[in-house]
Amino acid sequence: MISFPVYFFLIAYAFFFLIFIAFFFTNLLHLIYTGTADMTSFTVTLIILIMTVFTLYGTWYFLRGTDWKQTVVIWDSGHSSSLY
Amino acid sequence: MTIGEMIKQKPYEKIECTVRRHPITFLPYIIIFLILLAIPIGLYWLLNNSGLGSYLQNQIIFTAAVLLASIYYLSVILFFYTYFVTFYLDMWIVTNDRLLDIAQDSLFSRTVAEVDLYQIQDATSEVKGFFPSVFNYGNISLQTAGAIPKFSFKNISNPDAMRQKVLDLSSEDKKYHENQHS
Repeated sequence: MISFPVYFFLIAYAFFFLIFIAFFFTNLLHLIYTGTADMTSFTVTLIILIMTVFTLYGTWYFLRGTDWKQTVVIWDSGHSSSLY
Repeated sequence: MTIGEMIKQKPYEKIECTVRRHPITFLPYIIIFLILLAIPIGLYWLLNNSGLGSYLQNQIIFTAAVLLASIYYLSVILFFYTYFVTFYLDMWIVTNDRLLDIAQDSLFSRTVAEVDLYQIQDATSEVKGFFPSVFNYGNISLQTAGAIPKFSFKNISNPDAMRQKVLDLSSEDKKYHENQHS
């Protein structure tokens, strides 16, 4: 039987989120170091931050009851034997 | 950091204006962004109405779907922010001494070109098309005697007034340089 726990999904998500944070700060630093940190860029950054928080809150809200220790079965030898 | 520090402003130099593309040219990105945000909602609606919604009752599939949707939304938000930064960093700076073209091609690609105002020989402005005519934006192309023979401003607001301003500043700079040489 090949299986993995559901929290593996969460690890993959965390890895993606690290990339997101890295690119977010790269964008932000571009705005700061090029002298373009003004009201417009501040407003857009704030909107982006609000949307990010809203997305993260939504993700937490929908997954708050998840049992992260349950396993996802990819392949079970019982599946093939039941065919015959 | 200020724009002056970024362009290494000289002591006698005064920034006359910073010019960006007209905000209306960013509108297609906003529309695409909104469409991309609506796609998962449309997919969810489609799943529920096609009878495949029962798959989402499975907790593992539901968890994976929510995490995938979250990754999708964060990616769309990040792409939008990156487009905005690229759009906003793409600008032209006009000082009383020179003209700088800061072309932000992508997040990690930027070209900065500059020309002395006294080297500008000719300026042409154009407003072409329906939206440019309605919102009064267009291009300016400048012929120079410098290393960069052609300099252009793309999709800027009020290009006619800007062309005139650049020509006025250029003639002032020419007078200043002529007085220095005589």
